[in-house]
Amino acid sequence: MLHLVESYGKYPLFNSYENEFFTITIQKFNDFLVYERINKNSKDKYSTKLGQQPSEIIFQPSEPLFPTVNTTFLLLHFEEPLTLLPDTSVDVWATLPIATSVIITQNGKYNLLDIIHFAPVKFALYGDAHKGKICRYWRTSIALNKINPDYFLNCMLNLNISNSTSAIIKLTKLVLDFAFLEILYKDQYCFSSAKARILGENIAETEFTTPTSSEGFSKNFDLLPVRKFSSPKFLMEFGI
Amino acid sequence: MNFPEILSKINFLVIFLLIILFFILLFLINLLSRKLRIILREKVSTQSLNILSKLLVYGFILIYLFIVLSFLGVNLSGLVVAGGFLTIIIGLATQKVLGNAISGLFLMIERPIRIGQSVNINETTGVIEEIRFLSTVIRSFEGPFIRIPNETVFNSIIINFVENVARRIDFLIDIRYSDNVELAIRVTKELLNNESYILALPEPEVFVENLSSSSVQLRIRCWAPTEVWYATKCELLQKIRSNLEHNGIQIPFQQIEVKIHNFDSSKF
Repeated sequence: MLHLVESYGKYPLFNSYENEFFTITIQKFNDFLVYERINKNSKDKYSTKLGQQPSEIIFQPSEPLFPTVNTTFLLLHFEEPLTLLPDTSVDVWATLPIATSVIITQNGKYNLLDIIHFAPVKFALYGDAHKGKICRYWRTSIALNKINPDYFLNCMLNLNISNSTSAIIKLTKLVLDFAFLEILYKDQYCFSSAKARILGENIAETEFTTPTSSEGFSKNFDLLPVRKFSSPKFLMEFGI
Repeated sequence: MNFPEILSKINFLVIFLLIILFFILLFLINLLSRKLRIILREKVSTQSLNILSKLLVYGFILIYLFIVLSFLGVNLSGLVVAGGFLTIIIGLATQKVLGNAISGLFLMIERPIRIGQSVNINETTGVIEEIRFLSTVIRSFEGPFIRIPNETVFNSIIINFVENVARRIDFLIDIRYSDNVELAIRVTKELLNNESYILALPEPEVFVENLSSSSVQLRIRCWAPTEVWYATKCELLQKIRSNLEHNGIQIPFQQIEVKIHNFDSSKF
């Protein structure tokens, strides 16, 4: 039986799932349940055998982890620079790329089955080749009001930016460590929050923060192990 | 000091102090050994770590023996002189070995290479398998095991292909004089911007570098993450060729125009 996936969340087990981005089938083949996913745009295909029959399947927004490039940094490149006056703070909305993780539930346990990227994947170097960081690159516009995200592609980001210097700052980019990214989602809507503190003309401190919970929203499962002893803060010292 | 004199010096307090000292030294050896294992765990092999631990134990035993003897009032000056001579003899005999061992120690401190990294040392290219006390083991890309003495490693020019997070890809592409240069630059830039592994920052560059005898030469410069650099480079060259061809731009053959002066065609 075909099921249309039009939002994030839990779905009962069907033979196939489909939306504008993908087709997923879970079918018996040689006594094994085989999961197969085809991306409609890129024709990218992934299949795996399932050891047990899952009871439910979850589609959720998750960290934009990419298997071949080992990075947890995200570079948000603003389409237009944001000018900040001395000792001021502003709350703006931007977007960030997300991956869609497919999670199956078996005997009350959650297992990650697949990570799918529908947003364009691009990387950038922040800093120099020796001491810099490879980051997932994302161009975003910034607005004072909420931006409607494209579901399965990107997520809304509430950014609190403060300029603690005595100079006028032109902010063109932000680098954040998405190992600490938390996303809240409901239906076709997902959001997260972060803050940035400008410390100098070329230096800023950034971090993802826990988004304020709203009714009916669920928190995504973390794909990256929780790093208890490391700081979520990232010091941008190669320019802002 | 003769043996009965030494025996007369041994009393309960001396024995007690020596035992206490023994346990303190034992504790220090264990602590140092454990710390060394934690610090060097990812830098040197288990085999080298075991040797280092043993050297540490023997060193402490030697120190303990010296302390015991001096406690008992034995004159150590003769022993020191004899030890000095012995050290010179051993040093001369094992000059190369010691040179390699000291170089190995400096390699562990300076860390120009690490296990698992792709490097070129003394014109040998491969992946670092092990950094031992006396030698470094490389697995060449063709498979063979190569052992390089540490002194050679330390004194050679080392090219570490993966130490930096990104590497540049550099191509020189020839197009015909009859082709549209602006179009060639535009379609190549578009291709680079659409490639996932070509870094958006630093921005890729495509420009005319040279007007050669048979072609217009375009320089293409872009960056890729180190872990996918080689695969991206190989794939990109093929994509650039297909993309140019798709847009009617061709890579020309070398052309030489030969002119013969005073040519008399009636002779042929």
